Amino acid sequence: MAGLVFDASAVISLVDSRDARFEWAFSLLTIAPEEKFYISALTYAEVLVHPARGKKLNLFLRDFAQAGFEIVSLAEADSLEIANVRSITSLKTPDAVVVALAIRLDAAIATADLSLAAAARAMKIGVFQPN
Amino acid sequence: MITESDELSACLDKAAKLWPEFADERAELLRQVIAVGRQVIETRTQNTLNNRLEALKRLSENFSGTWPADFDEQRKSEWPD
Repeated sequence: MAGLVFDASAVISLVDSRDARFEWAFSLLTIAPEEKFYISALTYAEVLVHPARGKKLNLFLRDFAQAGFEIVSLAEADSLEIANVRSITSLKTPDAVVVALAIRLDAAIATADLSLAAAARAMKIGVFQPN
Repeated sequence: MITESDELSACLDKAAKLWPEFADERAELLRQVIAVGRQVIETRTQNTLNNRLEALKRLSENFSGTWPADFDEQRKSEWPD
């Protein structure tokens, strides 16, 4: 495994202490302190909507970068992988993007989403999810 | 007996100045260098973790409650099957 790709549910769990899965998400830091944390540019956009609505976007951007997340842009080859994932699973595009990125980076996925976790496991991708 | 590249050889020569008691024991000098390297790696890993924890603590303080409880359902409903 070469890092962890976070989906939106896992990111929110990590930064929102009111989230029921906050402790699980935080435990990822101690389970894999040396691992790189990745998030796709699309996932990032989904996460940023609410800080933007609250006029606190710059504050979020600064601290999120310092939290060690690498924002990964989508490449042309990812389009093919995303389409492939969509064709063999029932995942919607944002979740297929997470899977495609994990495949490209040879990374595991951190998610609280049951359908994404199941689809990723079926594709032999490592998954970290709440119990 | 270790095979020394130019870089390793120069490194062990410097190490011999730090640990003169092992100046004639190149393998022991290498062990000392590895021990220091391991310490640096552990420190960097801990620093990375501490920086992450501090940044996430600030995010949590400033952004808890920012996303609605049904955030996942909302964002998924925006995309077709």
